[in-house]
Amino acid sequence: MSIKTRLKINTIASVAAVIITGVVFIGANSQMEKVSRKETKTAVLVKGITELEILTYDYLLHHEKRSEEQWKMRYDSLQNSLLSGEFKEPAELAVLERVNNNLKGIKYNFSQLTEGYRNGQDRLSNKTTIELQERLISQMMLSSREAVSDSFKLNELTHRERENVRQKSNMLTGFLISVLAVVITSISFLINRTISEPLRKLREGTEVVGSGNLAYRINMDTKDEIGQLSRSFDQMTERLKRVSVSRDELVKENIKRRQMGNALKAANRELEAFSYSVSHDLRAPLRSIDGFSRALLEDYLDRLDEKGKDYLNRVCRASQRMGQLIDDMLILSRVVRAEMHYEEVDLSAMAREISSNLGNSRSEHRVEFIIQEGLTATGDARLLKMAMENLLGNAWKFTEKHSSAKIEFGAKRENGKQVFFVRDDGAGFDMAYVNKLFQPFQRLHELAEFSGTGVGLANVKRIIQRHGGDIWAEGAIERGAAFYFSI
Amino acid sequence: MNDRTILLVEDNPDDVELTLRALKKNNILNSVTVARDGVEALDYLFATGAYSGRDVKKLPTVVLLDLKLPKIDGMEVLKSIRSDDRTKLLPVVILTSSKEEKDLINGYKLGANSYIQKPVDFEQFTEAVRQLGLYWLLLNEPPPIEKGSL
Ligand SMILES: Nc1ncnc2c1ncn2[C@@H]1O[C@H](COP(=O)(O)OP(=O)(O)O)[C@@H](O)[C@H]1O
Ligand SMILES: [Mg+2]
Repeated sequence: MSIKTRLKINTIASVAAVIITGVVFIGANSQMEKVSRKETKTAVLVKGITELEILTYDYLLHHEKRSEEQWKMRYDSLQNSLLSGEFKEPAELAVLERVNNNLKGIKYNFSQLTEGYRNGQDRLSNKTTIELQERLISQMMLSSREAVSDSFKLNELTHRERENVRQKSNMLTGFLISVLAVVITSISFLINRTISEPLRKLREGTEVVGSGNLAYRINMDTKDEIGQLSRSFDQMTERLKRVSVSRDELVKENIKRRQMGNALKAANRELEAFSYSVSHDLRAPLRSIDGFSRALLEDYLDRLDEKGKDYLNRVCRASQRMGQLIDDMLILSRVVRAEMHYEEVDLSAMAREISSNLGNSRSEHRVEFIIQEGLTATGDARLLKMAMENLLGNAWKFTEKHSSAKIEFGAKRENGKQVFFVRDDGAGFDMAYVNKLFQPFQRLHELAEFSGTGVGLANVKRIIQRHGGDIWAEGAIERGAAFYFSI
Repeated sequence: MNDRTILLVEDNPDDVELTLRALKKNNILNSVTVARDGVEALDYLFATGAYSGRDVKKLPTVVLLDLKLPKIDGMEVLKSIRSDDRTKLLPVVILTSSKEEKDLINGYKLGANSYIQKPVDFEQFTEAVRQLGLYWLLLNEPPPIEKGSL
């Protein structure tokens, strides 16, 4: 039950208490009124009978017509007041009946009297008449006494009723008030319990959570407003906990990353030292091998036969090739380590420049370059140039055996992404080995046919990957090759 | 022209031999003094240590300086040369197998006059030495500091 309904019930109960008390009061009041009306009636009755008595004496003394008339009027009004219907209780009605009968008796006697007086004024001294008169008078007196005492009885009854009504209404009011007091108190108590106790729990919960314990839950299961509030609070704490957990994880992750970054830096430094020593120390002996082989070929030529010369030439070529391999390897490691400086790079212009350099070389090779205009990408200009040089250089190299050749640089949209390509119609390659192309020192062509170390495409792939892009190739033997990349 | 000596700072005897051979093949017949490490090179230049009897005013025409040297490396030697008034203007050619850009940039920063990478291919090396000889020994005027002592 919600606090709102509870408060509503309490209000309704209070209002009901007031109304009921009012109704009881009004009821008691009207009862009292009725009783006082009865009292008035009995008073009128007593007065009327007493007056009737006085009028009787008056008549008996003077025998006046006026007194007789007055008596009759008084009697009629008494009769009327008896009929007014205030009294309904059987006891009251019985008393009234008796009063009525007595009055009737009085009336009868009085009319006998008046008749007697009217018939014979002269016979007034008559003994029987006097006797009759006396009897009538005494009878009348008796009846009137009885009527008066009955009226008093009636009065007493009414009085008792008044007491009764007063007591009853007092009792009822008392009872109702105590019942309502109990109801209102208990509801108030309930409200108090369902509000202040949960409020205390809620306050404690917020204090605990506020002090940083995000694992604390209030767990109130009531369905009222405070229950809803505390559940919302629990949910909020839960969410807060999740957020702070993910924040903690983030911090941890950051530390891990920093450590990894440091490790990476250390590895980079090591790699740098290594490649420095490679470029120095590995090349030095090669230089000796090559240099002294040549010295032999030059200074001791006359003492060497053809085979000896051939062997020495092979030694020279091998050491030169190894020198080339070392150099290319160093380039590869430099690409990996290079710092990236992002800028808008005009790839079309780059392709034009590279192609004109290739065209200027001394070779007889003639190639038609088709370069799409206005192709740009965001990236490191130096590294992207290296990639483009490799791709276009390869295209140039692998079309050299063809009398005429076409090399294209362009872009197309694939899955909403811009994909650049370098395409040629040269020697091509076997698609079965397409995966080997991008691995360092892997080549698909014989050295005797096409020179090279097999590091170029590995470099290109590293460069594209460092730009967050992808590279892939298509080709067919003697039908050319195409290299696609996205940045 | 023959009093124009060359100081070759090189620790690798093979490279010394090959450099001498390349010079000879290019008819550069100046006398060549060889220093095997950085300390020896500086001793020679400033007439200290083993070279304390040498006339400090007689500077070589050109110094061919390898970078990777025992004791004091090439860069340190170059720094010392450039920070001393007597040798401030002495032509120094860095002659090294290193292809590291870092070395190249540092070399020029410290005031190297030229920079030759020693290729594996001896022919290329001979060609580089030839150009070097042409420029520094035939065309280039010796630094003015020497004029008084000549
Ligand atoms: N445009 C091309 N046409 C045919 N084959 C190619 C092309 N580009 C690369 N390849 C193949 O991929 C191999 C690796 O290329 P790359 O890494 O550049 O090495 P390199 O050019 O030194 O041989 C090449 O040896 C060749 O077999
Ligand atoms: Mg290549």
